[in-house]
Amino acid sequence: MEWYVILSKLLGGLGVSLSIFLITLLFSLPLGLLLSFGRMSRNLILQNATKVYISIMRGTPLMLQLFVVYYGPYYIFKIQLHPGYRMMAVYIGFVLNYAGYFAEIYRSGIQAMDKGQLEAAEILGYSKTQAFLRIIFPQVWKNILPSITNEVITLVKDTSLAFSISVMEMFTTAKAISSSQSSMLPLIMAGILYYIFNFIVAFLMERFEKKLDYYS
Amino acid sequence: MAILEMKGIKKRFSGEEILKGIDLSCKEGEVLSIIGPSGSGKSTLLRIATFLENADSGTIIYDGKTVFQREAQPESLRKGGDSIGWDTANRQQAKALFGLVFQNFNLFPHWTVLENIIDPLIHVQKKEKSFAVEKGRALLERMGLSDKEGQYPCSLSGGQKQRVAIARALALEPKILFFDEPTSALDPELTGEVLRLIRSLKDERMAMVIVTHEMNFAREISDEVLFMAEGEVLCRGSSEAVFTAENERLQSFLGKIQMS
Repeated sequence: MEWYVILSKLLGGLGVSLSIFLITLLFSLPLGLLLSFGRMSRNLILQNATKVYISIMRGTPLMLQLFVVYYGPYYIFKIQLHPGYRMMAVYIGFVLNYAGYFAEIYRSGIQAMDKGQLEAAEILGYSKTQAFLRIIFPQVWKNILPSITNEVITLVKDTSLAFSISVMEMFTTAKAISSSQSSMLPLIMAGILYYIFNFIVAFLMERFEKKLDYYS
Repeated sequence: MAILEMKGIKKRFSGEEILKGIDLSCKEGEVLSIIGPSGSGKSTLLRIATFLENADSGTIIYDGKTVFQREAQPESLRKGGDSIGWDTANRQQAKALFGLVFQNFNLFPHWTVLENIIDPLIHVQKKEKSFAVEKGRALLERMGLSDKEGQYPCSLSGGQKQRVAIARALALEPKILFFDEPTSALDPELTGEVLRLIRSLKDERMAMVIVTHEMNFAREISDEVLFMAEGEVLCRGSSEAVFTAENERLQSFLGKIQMS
């Protein structure tokens, strides 16, 4: 197989990887924030439930979680799976997992905030919601961005775990071509594409960090 | 009429009695200073007056309306009831009556100087932006900080930060202003500019309650002085009366302050 044929197939797979990447960020970033509220809640049930959730998400392999999400409905509830569910299972598995990590990052950022900021907001008459959205969160966001960047870069590489439930993203595609052609080339090319993907992600995140660097 | 009246304020922190029943009041145009060694409960008292902390028992009255009233109760009977004793409607009204200036300013670092002053006007008091900007600029001019309006707090000196914090409080037009050691975080050469500003507020008959370690300042500016130690008011009265009182604890405190 010519190299450009391989490349075009890999790029098709890259499109799927990209969709996993974007959907995961789109949903896990807000979900993680909600989870962090639960984790910091004074309600002990909520607090412990989110604590257990986060502990499971961080304590077991993402690949195993994908299996559970994908095969669980059939094995546990005997529900016949729609073929389209495979992709959905990947999205769900990734979002649930990454939300757990993001929750802990948000929590560390929020708890590191100077309490005086909240007190000043309260004295000035801001509501709790206003104080969080206008004063606390913008500062937290700036402070946690480097940790978020770390996770985002890991996510680019983690998308290859969708291989485990046979979703045709870039790694699955590369592996298939490599086997059928008995060649390393597709894997090396995939590696280069992942690297370029992450290079761009890192570049964009750095730009973003600089943009928030207008105060210290 | 007194803008603020506090009666029998008691507070414990993990078993230790921080405030043992404090009474104070502040009338319109009056300046009340609270002095005393650290750990005497001055700041806690201020935090209770501004609702940042709950008293265990006592009464807080703003503008004749009882905001908080709680009977003394053994700790064992008091179950997590932070809301007990509060009159929610009066509390909401009272919050608009006072402002608080913190020891370490607590400006919002992600906003410019002007934004720090006008944001509460726009988003809390729901004023027009143009009105808020005009008012903010007028206040900055008064503070001598007109050229700083577009800068971020991190680029200001401590004295400038505190003046912005005072401007931010004044923008909301409080009837009474609390100061929690407003110059304690400042280099000595910067305290003067903040104290001058507070003096000018007295000239405008702003009611103020000031916790401070600046004895000369307290002596000169106050209508009434409270000397607190170990959670009690040991001495109170006019500035002259307190600073010349023959209370042993007070004199030893003043002596130590003068030495440093």
